[in-house]
Amino acid sequence: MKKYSAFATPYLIWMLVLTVVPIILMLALSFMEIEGLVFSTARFSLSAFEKTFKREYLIAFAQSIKLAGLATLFCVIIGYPVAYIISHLKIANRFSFLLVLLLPMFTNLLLRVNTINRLLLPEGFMKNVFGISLNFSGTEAAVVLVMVIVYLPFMIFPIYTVLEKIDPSLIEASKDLGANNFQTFRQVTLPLSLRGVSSGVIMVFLPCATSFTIPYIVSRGNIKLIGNIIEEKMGLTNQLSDYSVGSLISILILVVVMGALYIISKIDAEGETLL
Amino acid sequence: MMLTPKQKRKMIGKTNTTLKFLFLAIVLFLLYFPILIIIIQSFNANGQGTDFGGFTLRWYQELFKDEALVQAITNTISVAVLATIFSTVLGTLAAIGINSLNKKRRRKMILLNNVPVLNADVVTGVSLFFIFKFIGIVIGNEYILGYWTMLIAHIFFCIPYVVLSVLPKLNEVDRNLYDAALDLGCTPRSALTKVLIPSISTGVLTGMFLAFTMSFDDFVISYMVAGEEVKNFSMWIYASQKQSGRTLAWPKAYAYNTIVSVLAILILVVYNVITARKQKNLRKDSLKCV
Repeated sequence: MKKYSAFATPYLIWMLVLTVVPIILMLALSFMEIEGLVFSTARFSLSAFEKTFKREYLIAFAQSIKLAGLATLFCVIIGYPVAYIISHLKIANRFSFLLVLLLPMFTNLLLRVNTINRLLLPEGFMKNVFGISLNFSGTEAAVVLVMVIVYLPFMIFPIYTVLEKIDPSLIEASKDLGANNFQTFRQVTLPLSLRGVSSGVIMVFLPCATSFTIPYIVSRGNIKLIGNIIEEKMGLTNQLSDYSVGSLISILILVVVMGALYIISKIDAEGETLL
Repeated sequence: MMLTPKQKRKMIGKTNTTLKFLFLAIVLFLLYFPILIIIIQSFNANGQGTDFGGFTLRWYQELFKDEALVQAITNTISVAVLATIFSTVLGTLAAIGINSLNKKRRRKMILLNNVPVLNADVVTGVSLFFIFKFIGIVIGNEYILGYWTMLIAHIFFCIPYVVLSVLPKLNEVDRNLYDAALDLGCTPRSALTKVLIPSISTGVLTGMFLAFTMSFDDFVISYMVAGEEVKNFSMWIYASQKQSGRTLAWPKAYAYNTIVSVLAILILVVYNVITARKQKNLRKDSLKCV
């Protein structure tokens, strides 16, 4: 099938133009003082670094890591047992159950975020129809809750994928050799499934930490994560826009993403757990 | 009452299954409750959505009268359909290409392919924004951002999902089958269309489905690269949220969303039934052979 290797070349060029060239552009912009994108008047400057590492943004960084970290933790705690239970269902049920987890994705994300947040208001639909009055709309807890609800399936799928691939004879062997259910789980199933957990953690943590819609819609701008800062800096019309700072923060996130890519390429070279 | 160990184990087993199903039920409730609320609100005569004011179909009629919303929905659908077609074709070809590389280059291509999959949407959006703007400067078009840049961006982030779904299927293809096709007089091209592509069709279908889902629901990347004039459905919602600054109810958007959810459920159920029936028939056929 060697003859088809020529098909890879156009894709390589396309990917280079749309992923690698922009990274070079952003790196260059991080070291520039530039008005919009007028390169003729741009000059070398480290001012973007000065502007980025100020208190307000550092707090946003810390907040992003805290809230996304909490959301990821809850997703593992809830998602692992779900994946485990599904992988032990009868095959026909398994497929239907995975579909059931997929379906919420057809509801618009922004609409879902807004709806969940409105349900957490002390007055409104929840109180008038169900008689339940919650009161944490707009808080950090609400942001974490929304993140968990939205990204939970992204934790379940990769864990399920590796659990399903574990050879059942390994489990039998463990039991034959005298291990009880718990020991088998701890010493056989769990270590073999950590690959899926790592993928899941990456797939949940990254989008949560960089999301700007969830904190914006939930807190109406009170809680600022890194994503919100980038959005502000990349604004087409607003006064705060500053492409150098936007580039620099994007590059910082990219460094983390590269780390994640490296981990994925070690544990899952064929990208099986990414779907 | 004394229980024999066997009875005990049975009881523990039973409570275990009950606990398991209770747990799954809670998780499903968490995922589906907001969606249920959206569906209820789409029929709610109380437009503010603070209480249930009776059943109405008003929002479904108003939905089609709101020009900006209809335009946004049209954009969402047309971009999703076009991006799905292009990314499925290009992604399948790319996967076939990657599969025929040697191991080292193959790994490198997969790594590059995974960048948009793992990358934060904001960063992908910012990257594409810069490259499109830069190309705009080079070709002298300052207002390059719009429908076409949004479409290219969608094709860009959909292809990797197609590649990831097709590659494992290519791995499973029996090389001898392909060689046999060549020996029996196929040109490499007809071997591609008659042998290779049919045997990876399930992977292509999965990729197509994923591409459509990703494109249809995208907000962040579209928002960064579509400029100020063109909007898809998500951007319409975000814009109205920004304008009013309140936690709004959008009964018209709920109505549209309900239509989409119902269609998605129908399609998935039909697909599920068809594949189940196919598998049953396959099993029957293989029994006949025995």
